[in-house]
Amino acid sequence: MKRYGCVHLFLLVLFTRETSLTAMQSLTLRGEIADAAGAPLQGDLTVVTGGKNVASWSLQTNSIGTFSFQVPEGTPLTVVAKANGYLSAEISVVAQTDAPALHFRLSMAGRVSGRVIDEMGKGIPDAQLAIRYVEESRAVEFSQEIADVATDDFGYFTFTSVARNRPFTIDVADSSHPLVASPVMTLDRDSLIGVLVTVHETGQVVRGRVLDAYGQPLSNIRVHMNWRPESRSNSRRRELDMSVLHIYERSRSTTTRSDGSFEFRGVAEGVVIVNATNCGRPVSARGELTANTPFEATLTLSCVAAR
Amino acid sequence: MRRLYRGFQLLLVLVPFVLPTDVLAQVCTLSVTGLNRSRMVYGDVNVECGRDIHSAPFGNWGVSSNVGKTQDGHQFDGWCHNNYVCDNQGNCGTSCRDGWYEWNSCTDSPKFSPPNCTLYNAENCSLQVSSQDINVHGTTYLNVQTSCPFDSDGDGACDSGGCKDISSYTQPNHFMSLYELDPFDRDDLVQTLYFPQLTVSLSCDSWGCPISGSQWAGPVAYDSPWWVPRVYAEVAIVVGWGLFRDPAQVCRRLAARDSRYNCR
Repeated sequence: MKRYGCVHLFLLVLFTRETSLTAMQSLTLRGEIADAAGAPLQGDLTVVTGGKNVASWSLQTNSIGTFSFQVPEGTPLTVVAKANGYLSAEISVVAQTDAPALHFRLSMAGRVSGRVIDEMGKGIPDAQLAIRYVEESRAVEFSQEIADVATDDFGYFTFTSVARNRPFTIDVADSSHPLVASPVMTLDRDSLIGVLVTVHETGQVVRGRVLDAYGQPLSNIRVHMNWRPESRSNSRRRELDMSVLHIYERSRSTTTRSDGSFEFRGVAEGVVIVNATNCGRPVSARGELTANTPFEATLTLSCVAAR
Repeated sequence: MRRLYRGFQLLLVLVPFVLPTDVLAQVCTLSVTGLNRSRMVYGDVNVECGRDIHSAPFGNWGVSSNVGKTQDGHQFDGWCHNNYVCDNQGNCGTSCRDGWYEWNSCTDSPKFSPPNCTLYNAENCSLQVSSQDINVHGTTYLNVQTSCPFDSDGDGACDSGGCKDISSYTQPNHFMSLYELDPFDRDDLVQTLYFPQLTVSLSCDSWGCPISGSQWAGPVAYDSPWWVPRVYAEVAIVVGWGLFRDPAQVCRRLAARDSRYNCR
């Protein structure tokens, strides 16, 4: 019985030491959210830590916009502040005893509207658009602030959360053109209307056929295309690689027509891998796509077409 | 000199794991989306119930959360959609005509309180249950710095680096603050819901990650007010895609000098 008591005491001491050790290793970061004029804003914060296990947790400010939280000392982290009606902002810090207070100044958003057209002046419907601020990089971005915008049936679009006085481009992705960026512009008032973004009939064609084991065409087969930019790409192309819309050109799918053919239009120069599945063992073909040469492939699956 | 060069190479590769920052650093971008379903309103709610410009009692609700901001869209669909409704004083008309699926946001007002089969759509006309399925309440892009893709066993395939550096994504405390949206005035907070830890296991290769999601979870705590639950919903998070990006071609330059970085 007495021995039991000792064990309890030992566990209690161990637990207390562990707790105090943890407490010693963590420190408190403080800060506040305010508008551009310095008036406090009630909002929330997301704290993101990287590494093998990426994590993001949230906290709210109090009614006068101040906040504090504890993190282990030495942790590199990104803190993102947002409040209704304002653009979010982020600060990256390493948690250290001498880390400064985190002061967020959030600015009001403006509107930018316009139209995406082809070189004949015809509106491009269903194009995906994203805002990209020039020479800026964020660890955390909200799709409502930079993307989530598509053109309507006539090619018109509106962004409602654009930062003022920060140069930006509008990236455009659609199924038949390579990813393009508008010229750089700046919003210096409440709204900017009538922006025209022209997409050109550039890019190459990736085409081919899917055949069965006897050389007969296979229709309705899913064909997937993976694309990577070429290694010697220029600086403008490298900027586009940082667009969130880059995902649209990295990976595209289609299905074969009745004659077994498939086609992807508006593919930029780079390395292409096409593969067909859904019928027999998957097969793929890889090739380089240059400005002068389209890529053609015949994919032969091991199954037999229905007769 | 050679050792110095090696040291520089090592620095390039080990820079990782510091979240963000450098415009030119190589990153794995994760697209994280928050989903909600099984939405239900059962507590007393009273927002934007005045006799002014507001369309009492119904309104479209938006969500501010770990993954996004409020937006006039389908973030938290209700059930009222072009419905003929009558309040408790016998005033009738068609409500919810602006394309959204709305909620009765004035359930503690005598004029709009239960039971009323035109103001409530479930449980003997005293409860509101969404008529819609899964909603997206936000998407966030996380740019996580990584090491360069690397082939350690010489088979030409990358064994580490790039998106393969990341094995999971966790939100220890997912939250949803629900607002009745007001295009003419500020949005009004209905309640904040807190959820337990949500984790997504990732099976990325060096170049990207396939879609993967967490389990669904119901709320474990509330705020504003914290003592009376007003709303129920389940949430899950999905990593829709991951993509390795090397805009400054740091890894490409490394691959040109060391074949172990030149992997597929």
